Amino acid sequence: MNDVGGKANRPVLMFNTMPRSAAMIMHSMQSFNIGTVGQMVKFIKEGWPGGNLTPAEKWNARKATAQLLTVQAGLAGVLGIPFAGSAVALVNNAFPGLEIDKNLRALTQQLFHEDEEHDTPLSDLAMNGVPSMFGWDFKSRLSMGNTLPGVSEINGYQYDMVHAPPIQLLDHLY
Amino acid sequence: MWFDNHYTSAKKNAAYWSRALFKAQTKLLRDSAEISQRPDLQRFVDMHEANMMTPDPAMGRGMTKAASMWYLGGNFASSLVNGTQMFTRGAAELTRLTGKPIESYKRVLDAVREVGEVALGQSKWRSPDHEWLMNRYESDKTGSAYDVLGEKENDITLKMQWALNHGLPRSAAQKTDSLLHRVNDLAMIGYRGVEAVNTKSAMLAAFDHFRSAKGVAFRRRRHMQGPRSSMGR
Repeated sequence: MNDVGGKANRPVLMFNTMPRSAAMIMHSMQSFNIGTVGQMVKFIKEGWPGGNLTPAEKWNARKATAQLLTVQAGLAGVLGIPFAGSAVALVNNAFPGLEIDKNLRALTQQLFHEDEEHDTPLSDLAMNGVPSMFGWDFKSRLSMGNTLPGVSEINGYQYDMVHAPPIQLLDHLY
Repeated sequence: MWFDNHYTSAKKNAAYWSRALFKAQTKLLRDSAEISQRPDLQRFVDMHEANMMTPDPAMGRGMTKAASMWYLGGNFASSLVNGTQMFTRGAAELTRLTGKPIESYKRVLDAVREVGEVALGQSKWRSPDHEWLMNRYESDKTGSAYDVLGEKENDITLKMQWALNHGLPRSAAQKTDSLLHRVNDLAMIGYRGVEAVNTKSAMLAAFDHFRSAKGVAFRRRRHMQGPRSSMGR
């Protein structure tokens, strides 16, 4: 049994403390992100030392965690890992002088011995995912870096993005 | 009036029996040998039951549906990307169970390929077990525990209502409602198709894993032919 989809996937706290309609609206279109983050947390928890699981089960959970994170990073880039993009955007907003976005890119280029004057395929691959090399935009669709409400890895914190999609839609229409 | 009374009565009956059936299935699952030993799984079953037994309000459902259609409707690129779910999350879940990442990908790929080939009419299900499983899925999916948006549309009483009202003059509100339903169906056709592939391939991969882990082999036993024959076998 794996509670990753539909009604079984809903956050208990949200649905138990808020009116059901409000919880549904807040939860709207977040099912995939919540399910994936929940799955990662579950794997990490199972792989953590201690607990009732056998060493083999723990080892399997660690392998599964590594696999899930690697595939996610491979398809959507390092910033597509849950909360990564939001964290960078928040630090950028709080400390603009650090230029963390720019420095992170420079650091990645250094890691692969690349520079701005030449092509930077490996660092682009790391930042945007493998499909971007073929011109396919998986990152904008698969990225879970913007998991925090109201925070975009591109534009940082935006008040109008705090609202759930149905409210944004109403805002847009009226 | 006569139709309305019968329709309301059938609706109440259907709702009552659907809930009774779901409760019985949940109880059976909760008391099964494996789950009765696992308090963590029992907690999931209880939470799931409580959630399923509480109907979603129409406003929440409507707004969720409108937002999904607005942002995702007709977006075939997004729906195709949605098809990577089995390779990201499904394969990782199998690895957690088996500890074999390469084997997990092979199993997922096999399942997706099988579902695709059957959907395109290029082949049949690869084993009688798979066919039996997919027949069960096709017959049960109208009451899927995971189908949030579809639960109302798949309601048998709504189908009956449609049949009763078919061909009769309709009000502007009814026409608008029907039009919106059709627009939604059309806009979300890509997503629904990819979701069906995801669901079926997840079921096949999990089914094969369960059989290999438990050593369950398909045996055509006489006492199983009764229920199978009712599914066209």
